[in-house]
Amino acid sequence: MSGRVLFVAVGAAAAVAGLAVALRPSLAAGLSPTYVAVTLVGALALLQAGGAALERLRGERRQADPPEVERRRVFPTPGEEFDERLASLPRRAGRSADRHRAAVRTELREATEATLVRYGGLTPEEATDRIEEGTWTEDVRAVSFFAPEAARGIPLTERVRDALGAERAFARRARAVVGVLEAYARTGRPASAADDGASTNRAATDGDE
Amino acid sequence: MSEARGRDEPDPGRRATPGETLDRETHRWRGVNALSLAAGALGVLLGQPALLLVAVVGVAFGGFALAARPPDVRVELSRELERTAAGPEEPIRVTVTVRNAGDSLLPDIRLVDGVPDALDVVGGSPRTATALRPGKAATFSYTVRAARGDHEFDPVTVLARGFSGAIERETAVRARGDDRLACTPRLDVGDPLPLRGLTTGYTGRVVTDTGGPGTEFHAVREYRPGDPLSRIDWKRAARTGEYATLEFRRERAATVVLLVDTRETAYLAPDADAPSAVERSVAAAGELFTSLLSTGDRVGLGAFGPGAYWLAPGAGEGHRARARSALATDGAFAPTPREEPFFPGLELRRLRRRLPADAQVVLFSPLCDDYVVRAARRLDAYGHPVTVVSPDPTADGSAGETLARIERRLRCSRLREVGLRVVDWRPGEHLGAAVAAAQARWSG
Repeated sequence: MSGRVLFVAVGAAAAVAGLAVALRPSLAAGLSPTYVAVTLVGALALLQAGGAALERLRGERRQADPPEVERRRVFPTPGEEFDERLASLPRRAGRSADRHRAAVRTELREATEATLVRYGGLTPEEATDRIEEGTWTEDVRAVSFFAPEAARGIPLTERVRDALGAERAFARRARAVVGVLEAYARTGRPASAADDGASTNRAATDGDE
Repeated sequence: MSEARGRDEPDPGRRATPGETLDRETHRWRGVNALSLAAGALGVLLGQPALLLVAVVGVAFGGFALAARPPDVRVELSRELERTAAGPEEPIRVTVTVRNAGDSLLPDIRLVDGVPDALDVVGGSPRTATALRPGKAATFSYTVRAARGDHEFDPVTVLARGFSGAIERETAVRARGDDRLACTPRLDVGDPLPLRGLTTGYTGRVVTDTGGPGTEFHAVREYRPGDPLSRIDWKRAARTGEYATLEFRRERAATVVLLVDTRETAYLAPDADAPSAVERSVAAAGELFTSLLSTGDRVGLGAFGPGAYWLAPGAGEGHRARARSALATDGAFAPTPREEPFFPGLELRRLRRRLPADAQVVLFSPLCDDYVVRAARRLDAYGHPVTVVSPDPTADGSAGETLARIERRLRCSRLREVGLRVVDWRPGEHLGAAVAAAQARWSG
């Protein structure tokens, strides 16, 4: 703040002095501005103009964003968080990237195991083995999400596209896993029959989809 | 003002609270400064007095902007609602009047009324922009569509600028007059939900496994003196000469507690226009409450979330009115999540202490997290049979949404595997249809 006041004071004093000289040129009789001094002042002003223009072009918003009150609040849809995590995977390797990937992998692994048990008719141990062996689906991309060595099975052109694509191979494979799980849930047979036998009365449970 | 005019300027999205002022430099004159400096510099370097003169004009404007001070915002606001109590979907006109109570002219003042989060504006605009001389007033009005809940209007956001517009001052002002709109839907009698076997000693509609008076055949036993004549098996008596008495399944009343999951994680919807899972749960709980009361069952009501609400099981018209009022306007069932801490473990223990020994629970939850599954299983294990009515808030547009849908379906399966009943209630489906479909599959 004090620097700003100083600048304003110096500027105002210079402007007043300039005005006085303009009205009474005899006041500047002792001063003889050389070509170098005048050019220096011009160059300084140009530099300052460039700085101000850059700041303006940067377009920093400094006014309030009035609240949007016309529409009632929009509630989140389940799964948005997972999509955000996939979209914001750090591009550089590191601890943060590892943490991100581990969280996605854990969630997908649990869902895959549960789906294989529920809709694939496997025991939990069999589901784990199949996932690790890479035999739980024929989709190579989905398989390679849990078993990276299976990525060799992905055609070279696909792998090149993965490497060049805006979306990381990790995210593509994660989406492939979700696609396979959806197919299981849609077409797979539940492992056990209607399992709400504990109901004792005019029960209102639905069986399985 | 000085501290606001530095680098620590408030974020554009930050809102002032009543009594607080936020000042922001708009930097709208920065372009003029750049141009005048450039003109001055070129004038000096090229020896062009005309350019120098142009720069002088720019410098004058720049100086004017620099000398700007935030306006003295002293305004009085009043709000008037067409009605402060309304039915669902009713349009309500809101009129806001702003008066300049200060001594100086406000050349640029903008206002945004604090429309409650759960209401839609369906006509007019809740914002205005005007200039006000001291003592003068301006009025604007708009229409909101009423929705369930007790809605409190937020303070009005006031943004004011001086003549130069270089500095913007934001304040929030509470309007005098009406600041609440209450909307209490009627409790319609819904389709009955079949109950689990735990019953009370009173006659009701839940069919038990013990013999006695009723409508559904149970067994035939030897005649005992005192048995009503209407229950004697006369055909058998005619055929064999021996008397026998028909036994029917006893029909008993149940004690049911309707528990609505109102945690923040339950406020979910498949798209921007759809009602939240909590909204659907509350509507379903209201229907079921009335339908259970009408069949002689004792019904209680609870919220599993911040501001935990509890209405012990009871019966009668007064009880029904209390439930209706709670479901409509109690903060625990608010249409938007409450920003308060919630400790689910503590609440579950408290709930367990409150539940009568013979109570069964109907839990309304979207089942979109694992905790609620554990809570339901625990309540069931404590001897309170649980039926889950689950409004489905999932979509399948993206990978995450599809995964969430699969995970929810797996949670339903996990609950069914341990003997709980689950009614999977899809968006747009009538609750009665979901219950009927569930029951048909179970019976089949």
